[in-house]
Amino acid sequence: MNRVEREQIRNSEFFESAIVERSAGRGIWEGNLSAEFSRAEIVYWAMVGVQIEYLNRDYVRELFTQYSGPIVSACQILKERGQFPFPLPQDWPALPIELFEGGISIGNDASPDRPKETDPQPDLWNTFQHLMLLSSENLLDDETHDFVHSISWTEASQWNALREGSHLDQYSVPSSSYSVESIQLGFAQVTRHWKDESLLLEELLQRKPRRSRDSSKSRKLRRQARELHWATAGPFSNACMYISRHRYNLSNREIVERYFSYAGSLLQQTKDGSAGWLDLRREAFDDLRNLVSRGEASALTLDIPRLWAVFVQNEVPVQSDLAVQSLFESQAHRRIILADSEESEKDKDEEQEEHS
Amino acid sequence: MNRRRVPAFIPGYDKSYALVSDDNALRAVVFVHGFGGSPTGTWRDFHSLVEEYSSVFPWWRTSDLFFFSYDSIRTPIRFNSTRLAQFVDEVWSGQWTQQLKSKPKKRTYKDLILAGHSEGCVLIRRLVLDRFEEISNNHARKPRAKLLSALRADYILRSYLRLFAPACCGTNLSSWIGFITSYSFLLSAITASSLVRNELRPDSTVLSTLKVGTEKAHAQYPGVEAFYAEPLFGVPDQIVVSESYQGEKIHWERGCDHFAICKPKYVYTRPLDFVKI
Repeated sequence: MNRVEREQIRNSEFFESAIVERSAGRGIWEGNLSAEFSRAEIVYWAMVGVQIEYLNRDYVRELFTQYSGPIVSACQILKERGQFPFPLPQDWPALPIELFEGGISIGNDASPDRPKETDPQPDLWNTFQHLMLLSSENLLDDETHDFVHSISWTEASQWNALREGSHLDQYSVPSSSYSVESIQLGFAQVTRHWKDESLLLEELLQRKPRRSRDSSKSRKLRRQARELHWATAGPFSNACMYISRHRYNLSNREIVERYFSYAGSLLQQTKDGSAGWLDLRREAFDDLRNLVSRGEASALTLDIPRLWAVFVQNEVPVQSDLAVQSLFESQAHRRIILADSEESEKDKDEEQEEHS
Repeated sequence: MNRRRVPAFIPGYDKSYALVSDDNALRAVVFVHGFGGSPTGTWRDFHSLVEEYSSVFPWWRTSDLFFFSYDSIRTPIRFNSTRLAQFVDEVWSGQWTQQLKSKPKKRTYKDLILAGHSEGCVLIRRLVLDRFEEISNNHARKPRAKLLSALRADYILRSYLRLFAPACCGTNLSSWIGFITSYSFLLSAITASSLVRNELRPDSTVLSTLKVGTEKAHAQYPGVEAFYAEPLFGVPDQIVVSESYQGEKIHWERGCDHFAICKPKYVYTRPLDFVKI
């Protein structure tokens, strides 16, 4: 086993202990979609990790046999709601993912090309490792899951009741689950996660690839490594954003407005009318706007005047309870093929591509 | 590749983890984040820069890095400092490696460095004072020389404190001016009545007891390393009171706010130098 292979094994052990074991080995609230998403994301992180050669393919295969139960179950639940497989950007060479009784498999090939003489890209490895550390902080966070499930995956009337602490359980009794405090803290955790993740990926895009310490490498190889960095950093960053942001449902305008409305209402509670407060409110709006429009949501044209009105006046937009529900059924699936619906999905994709 | 450390989770301590290399390490550096922070969000710049700058700061090559995670908003400071004590004990003894598949080489550390940011510094100073009080109580009826020798032998009291913008003299969390990001602004709004936020007010009993106890201990035993610290503050820092304990020299960094002070960058490598002993 060479040095790179040894590192891949250690990376894979870290991936297992930080992400897979902790997520799969833990009970989750039944029906909490955010928690289900966090398990399904593991499949995609594993796919990208294998593609950039951070993870060892055989180790990952074994992991998905060992922990298949909870992960497959989460993927199936999301699939029934039209939320699995996740859409990925066109410029990332996604691998086919197959779900079957007792396991998951990730297809071969389609890794970003790199000259075989060069090491795997350390900048991508470092960024991926940091992303996994950030994800592991968010993965088991009950407040995050309560908040994301409530704001992104419930009907408008439910969300309004949850944010006000007036929701009722199945027996029409005020419910003790999903406390207002945990939803608020979840929002703080989510915005922190978005901020950290965005900074990390922006740094990757802005940085020049590091010079190898191996001075014996030819100029040509060093140039190839540089070119490779530019070619893969953008698609890699974009793919990571798609994976991590899918659970927030921000390609839905109504949900985006909920985020702005909620942020505005929280800030409103602390209004002191000072110039400093007013300036910060505007900066918070800009910051939120930048953080929201990532991943799938980057295709959305935001109605900024409307969002600002929602944010400052805390207007609750006209909402249809059915709007979110219907979204479960309407998302197009691209590029990733499930085994049990392989042909029909392929046909649908081809049709869509032809139309577009 | 310019990359030597891989993270390993430390079971039983929430989201805490270690970054250890295959090489021999002489010292353990324990990082403790602040109010509303997280191990990776607060300290991740250290992860990559200690590798990249290892030729400039070779000291880091022989250091293992540990990142402590705790609930900084709703759990009392004194409880968190006892958890930190247990964590540090596992780090120092190497107990935590027992559950790893690939175990690193066995370590016997010479030194312990406790690096904190904001509320994390309060936890660290409380940990030190708790240890002092425990040893003092155990030696209450013994000669002073025995107590002194026990204090000098204790690995926590021999540790080096590296405090970034410590909240030890209180915070000014009600001011909006310091909150330059939507996250910190929202966090401040959300946690307006949180338990820990009250514990971090300048007039809180938690902070005043800690200050009096540490200053008294330092006056009695000036040779004990962990009673003394020289904090680093950004200018301006509008979140914490930029003050330290009696007789402690304060270091300043212009142009760094409360959040940037502990984050090394290519243009700001001072934190890498500040932590080393």
